[in-house]
Amino acid sequence: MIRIKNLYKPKTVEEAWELYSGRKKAKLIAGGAFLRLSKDLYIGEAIDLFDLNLNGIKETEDAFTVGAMTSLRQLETDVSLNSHFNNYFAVALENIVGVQLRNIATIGASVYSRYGFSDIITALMVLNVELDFYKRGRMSLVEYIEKGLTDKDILLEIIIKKDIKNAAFKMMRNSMGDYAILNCGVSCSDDRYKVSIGARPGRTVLAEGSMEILNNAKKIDDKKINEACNAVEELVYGSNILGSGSYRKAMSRVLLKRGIMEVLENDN
Amino acid sequence: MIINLKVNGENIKVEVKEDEYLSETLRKNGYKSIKRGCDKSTCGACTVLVDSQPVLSCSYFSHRAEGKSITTLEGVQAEAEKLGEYIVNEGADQCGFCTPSLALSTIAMKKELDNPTEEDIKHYINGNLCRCTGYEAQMKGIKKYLEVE
Repeated sequence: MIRIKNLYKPKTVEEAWELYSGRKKAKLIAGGAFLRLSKDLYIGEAIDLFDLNLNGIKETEDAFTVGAMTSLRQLETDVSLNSHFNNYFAVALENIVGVQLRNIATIGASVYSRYGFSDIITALMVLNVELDFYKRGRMSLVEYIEKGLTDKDILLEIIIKKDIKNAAFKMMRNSMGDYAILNCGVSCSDDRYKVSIGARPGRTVLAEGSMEILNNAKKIDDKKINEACNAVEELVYGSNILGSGSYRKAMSRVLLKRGIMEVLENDN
Repeated sequence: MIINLKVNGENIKVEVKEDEYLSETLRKNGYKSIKRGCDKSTCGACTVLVDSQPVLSCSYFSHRAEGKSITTLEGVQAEAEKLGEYIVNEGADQCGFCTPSLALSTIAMKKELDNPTEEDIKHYINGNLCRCTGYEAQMKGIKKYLEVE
């Protein structure tokens, strides 16, 4: 059950910031979908970002700028975005619970909260993505996911650059609509590879060891793929209700290999 | 707080609490087709259409629906009966608890997708859980309703 004592519904970001910065324990609410999974939650002061008009996807010459309150379903179905990235977002998002939830859940809440189970973070990590915060300004997604922020802030936009567009998303689920047991993003641009592993179940990380092997290889052959897969197993994998750490470790090489094969195929 | 809703074409004013969800608001105002199954954004039994988009009313704050157009099963009876007949003819009616939400999702899908494949249909109704039927018969009924192979 969720209880909210005082609810604020600011109409502008400035107003939202004034409310948020001036109240020590205030909580921001974006999509609000994840709140429902809490057994018993009391929020003394809630600031709902719903009316801030941070919703929408704008395309420019070199990027897609996505408002933080844009729903996962909008990302999944946006024609320009999916056309540029070869349906990457549709594939990465289509298994998250159901259309009804994806119409509520927002990209901003997933990113800002750095949820470990997130599919969208893993997908974004291998692209060239920057975040725009109200006070801090621009920051790379990779840095934010790794370190977070030390001060309060409000996420306004997610800027997805167009330069890296050959990307593959792979995941393992017990059934459609369930949370991913493990997920993996792979991208390749100008022979530079990026690999992300999420739902470990800890938050998504770049698989630096695997990336180094792929990026130093003169040619990506079975031997190099196998080496990259060995390296991805070196990441830390934990256990939860969905799967054990050793199962995740075993699956990591499978997902990575599938991802590499797909980006290689896209290149040809 | 008082909010203004347009439910099935009718403008209504309702009083809601800050932490109230749309499923509760609609049910207490007589729209009993909405089921509260899991109450945890998982089962889809509480599906309603907000501005034609299917959402989980158990996870959608009522105050966010201010000024929006909401459709429940009560508002699409003719279409629901048509779909219901296809579903019953396939023997997929069973307990019927999930059927109102499945009908709303299917009606939304019909408007949103042109000539969907079986894979498209599966993804669209994936958020509507049924514990009776195993989905095969429902799929057959939905395909007939959508007039797709």
